[in-house]
Amino acid sequence: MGCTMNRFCHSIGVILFLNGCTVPNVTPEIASSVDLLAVTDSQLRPMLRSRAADEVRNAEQELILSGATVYETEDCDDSDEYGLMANCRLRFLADLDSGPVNATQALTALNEMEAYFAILLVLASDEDSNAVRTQAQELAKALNDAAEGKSAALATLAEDAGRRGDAFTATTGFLAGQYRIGALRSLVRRADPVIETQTLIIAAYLDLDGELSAAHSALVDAEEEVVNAQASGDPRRYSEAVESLKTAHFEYQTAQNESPSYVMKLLRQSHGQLLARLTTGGSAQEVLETVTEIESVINVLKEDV
Amino acid sequence: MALSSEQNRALQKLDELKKQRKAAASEVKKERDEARKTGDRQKEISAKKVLVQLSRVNLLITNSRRSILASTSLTDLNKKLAQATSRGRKAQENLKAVSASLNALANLIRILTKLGNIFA
Repeated sequence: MGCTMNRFCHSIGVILFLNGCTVPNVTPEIASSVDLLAVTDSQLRPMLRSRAADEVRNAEQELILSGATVYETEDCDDSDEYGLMANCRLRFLADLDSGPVNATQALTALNEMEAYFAILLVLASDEDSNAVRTQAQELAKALNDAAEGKSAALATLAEDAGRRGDAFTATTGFLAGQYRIGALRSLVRRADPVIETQTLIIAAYLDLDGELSAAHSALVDAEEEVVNAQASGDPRRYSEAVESLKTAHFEYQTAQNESPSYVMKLLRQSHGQLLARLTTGGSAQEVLETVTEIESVINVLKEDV
Repeated sequence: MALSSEQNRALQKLDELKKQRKAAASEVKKERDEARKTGDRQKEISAKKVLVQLSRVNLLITNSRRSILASTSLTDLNKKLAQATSRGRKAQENLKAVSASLNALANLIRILTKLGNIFA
């Protein structure tokens, strides 16, 4: 009865573990987001830098015109023994962080996204949890080697290590892997609504008065002229309107493909896919690997029953 | 998040308008196609004129959405993402700390084993 009960419990345990503990390899999803961010970065950063410089100049002028303080020096009043002031800097007193989105805020957002995806890549790689597994193996080996010692306490420890060494390594490695993936899940879940709103705001800010908006407007105008020209019964006007519509459509497509909104949308979708991958199960191989690890854990538990 | 309740309400209203516009356009497209099938050119052109106006409505909705979103500050969101990144770093540090502790423990046991042999 006890054995049957244990088997039942282990099966339930395996099912429960499988639902929540599979460790999916999400490195490709993160790498694709990082690639998209790099594209965004190369396209947008020069333009944002130029706009941000304009914002600083405008803010400087506003403060100067109002007679307010523009800059203050910080740590520029205490030279070291070499006559240097390594931390001497200028503090800009205009507040570019508050108020509607601007290039300065958008640049900060890009920097934060880069830092975020960098830590995701680190967590997604097995490096740190593998190090825990390796160190657990080393510990088990050290305990096993201690069997050669004459101390009774060490001999007891060593005997236990010999009996449970593999399971200890498996358990520790498994828990480290689960901790890693749990942290990754929590991180991505927490960041997803932030990334969604950031990408929407940056896209709106850059495309509001940009080429995409102008091309969209031109497309609707061209469409209207085609209908009016068709209604007028003038073949020449109609022919010209059709040509204009083809041009407007091509220009709209070009503007759309090159617009910040396009890349921002892809970035948002890519992060959404990453979240989905982390919150749904893994592949059959990943499930199998998890089962193997769970079996090792269960074997330890069995020994204690 | 980051958007005020007023901004959210305005965006929701625009979403509703977007749905209504889409439904209306769908009906007019059916009329246009029907007129084209029956060869009623006047009716087809009338339907197309309405569709152009509906496209203009879409342009207005799109630009209004952009205006609302572009009036929002990114600063709070940037801070939130920085906090999330910091949590990620902490998790990585924890894993490194566990690995380092296990390593220290293994070294300690090796030393104790050697001592055990010396004093045996």
